[in-house]
Amino acid sequence: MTHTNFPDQRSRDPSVTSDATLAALILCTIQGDQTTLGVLFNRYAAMVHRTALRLTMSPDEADDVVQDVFIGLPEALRHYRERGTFESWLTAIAVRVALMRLRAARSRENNRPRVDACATGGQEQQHADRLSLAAALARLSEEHRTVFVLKVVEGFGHDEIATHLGIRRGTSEVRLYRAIRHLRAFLETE
Amino acid sequence: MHIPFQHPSPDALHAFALGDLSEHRRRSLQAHLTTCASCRADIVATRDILERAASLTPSISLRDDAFSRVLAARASGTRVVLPVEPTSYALPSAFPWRAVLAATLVVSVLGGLIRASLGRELSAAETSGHLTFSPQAPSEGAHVTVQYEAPANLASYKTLVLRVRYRTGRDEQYQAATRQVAATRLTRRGSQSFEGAIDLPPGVVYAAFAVEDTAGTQVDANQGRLWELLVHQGGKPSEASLIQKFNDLVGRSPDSALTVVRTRSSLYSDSPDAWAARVAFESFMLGSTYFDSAHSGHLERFAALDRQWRSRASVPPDVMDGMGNYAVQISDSAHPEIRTVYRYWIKRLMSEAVGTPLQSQQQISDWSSRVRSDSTIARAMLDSVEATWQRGDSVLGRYTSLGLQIARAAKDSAAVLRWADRAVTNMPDHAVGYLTQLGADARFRSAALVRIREQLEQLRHRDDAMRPLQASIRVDSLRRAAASRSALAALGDLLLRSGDTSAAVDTLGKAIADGWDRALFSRTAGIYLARADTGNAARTFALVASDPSTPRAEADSIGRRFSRAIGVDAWQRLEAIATQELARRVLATAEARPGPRRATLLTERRDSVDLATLTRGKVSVVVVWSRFCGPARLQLPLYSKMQGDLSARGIAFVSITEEAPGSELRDYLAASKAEFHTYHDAWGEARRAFGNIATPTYYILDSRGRIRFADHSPELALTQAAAVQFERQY
Repeated sequence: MTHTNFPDQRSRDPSVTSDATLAALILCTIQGDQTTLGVLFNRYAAMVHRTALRLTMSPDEADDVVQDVFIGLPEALRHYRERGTFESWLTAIAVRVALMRLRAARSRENNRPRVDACATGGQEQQHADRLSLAAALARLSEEHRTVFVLKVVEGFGHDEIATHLGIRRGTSEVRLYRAIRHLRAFLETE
Repeated sequence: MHIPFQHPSPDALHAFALGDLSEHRRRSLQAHLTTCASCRADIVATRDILERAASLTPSISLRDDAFSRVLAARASGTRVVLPVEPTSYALPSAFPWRAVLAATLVVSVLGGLIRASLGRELSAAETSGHLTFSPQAPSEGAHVTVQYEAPANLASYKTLVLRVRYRTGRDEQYQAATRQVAATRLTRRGSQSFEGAIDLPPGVVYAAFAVEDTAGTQVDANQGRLWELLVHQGGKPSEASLIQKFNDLVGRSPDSALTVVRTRSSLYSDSPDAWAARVAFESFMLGSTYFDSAHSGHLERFAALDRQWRSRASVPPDVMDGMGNYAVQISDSAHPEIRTVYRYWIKRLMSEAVGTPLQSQQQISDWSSRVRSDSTIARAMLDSVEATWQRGDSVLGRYTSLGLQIARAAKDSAAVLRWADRAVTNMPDHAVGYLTQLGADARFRSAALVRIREQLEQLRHRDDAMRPLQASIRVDSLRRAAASRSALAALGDLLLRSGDTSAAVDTLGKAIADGWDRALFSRTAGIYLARADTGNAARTFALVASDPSTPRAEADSIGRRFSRAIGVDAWQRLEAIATQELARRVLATAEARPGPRRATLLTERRDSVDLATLTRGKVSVVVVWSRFCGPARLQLPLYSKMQGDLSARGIAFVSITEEAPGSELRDYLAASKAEFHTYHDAWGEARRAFGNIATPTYYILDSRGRIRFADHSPELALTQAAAVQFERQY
């Protein structure tokens, strides 16, 4: 048995997978129906945006990721096979697009605005804690933050992360542990 | 055998916290954890970060024109080739993934988009923002600015409403007499930030807040906890503010109230009333064994406080009153000297604090013990409570019910009605109860009938002052519907007593037209039967019999009786319809919010288990309890039977306590004859995941893991779980 404290988060919304209308929405969108593209946008744009924002830490970049994903979606849907949920398929695409933008941005060198406030779901933390967690996350190096976000927030396994980033599984694990260590150090000194 | 003591590497601890270790390594590390507090603390700290990060929702929303930009780009022929398969990092960064293809699509004009209706279910975390006050520790009457970071579902509004329940030093426990008001509007200042300001009204010492949209459809009540302000004095919360905080919490979160009552006695350790309140509530919450163990400490403190305050030249009335209360709480037959001290302080209160509210309360409570033996005293008392009431310095609830009681003793009909009306106005939640009491006396029955009808009329209209802070307008309408049903039931009962049987039956029929209240249905069915209305009696009894919380023997006896009366086949058909109807009635108040995604529990042998594996694919009742909670302790003996009843219906029962496994708890469970398996929420993950703020709470999860009901009654839990199971099967 594998100990699963942090199960795959991409399958977390069962209402979507069981939705019989999804198949119809996809079919119509492939055929160029803009209304159904709008429905998919309303359902999933916020999710894509959140994922992009966590990875890029830049509101502008995140907006662009959403743009790219939904501009390309009608054509990309032709490649969608119903293995796993639609949500996880789309998240994986959003992650890839976001990572591509990160790589492109790295070469431009970045003075982009950072996310300055985040809201978490826990009940007991004070606002200050939440701010400092987001701030600590922003202080991580990009390679540490990317692995951390993909694993802990997006729920990818190390093998998938390794494929996405073109690194070895062991490297992904090491980056994750370092990310956690740095985060704890940041949070404890603040 | 000597086992060398060696800590696991930090990486191994991180991997453990992440759930990434192999079974073998996890077990060996777990063995270490049972003996090593520092590694346990390390894991808790890591998990805390992981938990918080996992639910990290950036508070920046998508640009408003995002979708029109998508359409415009597509209309102009822009196409993006998306990486639908994993790409290798080795791909050149100049990979032409945004390629312009020939535009072939004709753009059609879009009608309105159906944005809101297709939203997915929001978890508690996604509907909760942050409210901050400046100053955080205001003095009385202070000007307070309010900042609100809205969650996604409230962020798009231009203005939001800050609702508040203000409490002055005079307010009582629970929310029967407190009212809610819209304190101010919060105006949008940034993408998700809102701002506003309030001036604390004079006399207010405690305030509880929630935020909602202007239409009252979406409420952020801080996941049921509300936000709060306590008036401070001398750098700490005033004693009055802590008393009111306790009063506010006592009905909605007893375990938090316990913390407050303890805080009050530590911050105000020379206040005898603080200790009296603590003894009373600790005994209720923790049981008499706890009281016995703490008793000698209280005896010493009581004696010390007595010496301390006797030595002062002047003593405030609340200390004299508090000494009286403390004495009452700790007195027992083995310590007659406590009684002597009690008499000393009450005598001083009566002679030195003349004209103060506490003195007049004491006067009235002395009188009420004598009113039964000496009816002539009633008139004097009535005049006194009337005068106190007119002065307006009394505690409302206590006075209205006392006034009513004394007016009855004085046989003053006008006064009875006057005090009944005061009780109804000041304790609207209990109004129907007061009126039922009033109507029990034939002389006041018609007056009671008129007043209950007025209550029903009032319940037809929304009264925002009575709407609980955490209730949206929809939830409040369910509350009002339930209150109307109770009022109709009371009206029906009174009509029955006054001999107007047919009106009574009509009224009771309306009371049971929707909703579910087993006792009321059972009573009404009995009345139908007494009137030889077999059809209605059978239909109503069939509902009672199909409720799984009806004792088996009672259900069987109903079945036998009606099988004889209307025939076995007819009764069986009726039962089948009733099961369906009961489910419909119960599910009318169900919600569907996402349940816990992950919550690690410990078994008694300290193995980890994910809550989801216990509830996956099944309708489940998850009860969160604590042996340090009075109400939870009372219900514990029910669980063995409850588990049996549920499992017979294919419903899982999961008992979760906040405590880590240990011998004390094991002994306690053995002594309580608990024959059910208990899981331990040692890391608080389950309670956080449920947003649990009080025990016992019963969460009914459907087979998709969504929370459909969260309630405090075990009987209701059984009925609700059966309804959810029915919904699943049909």
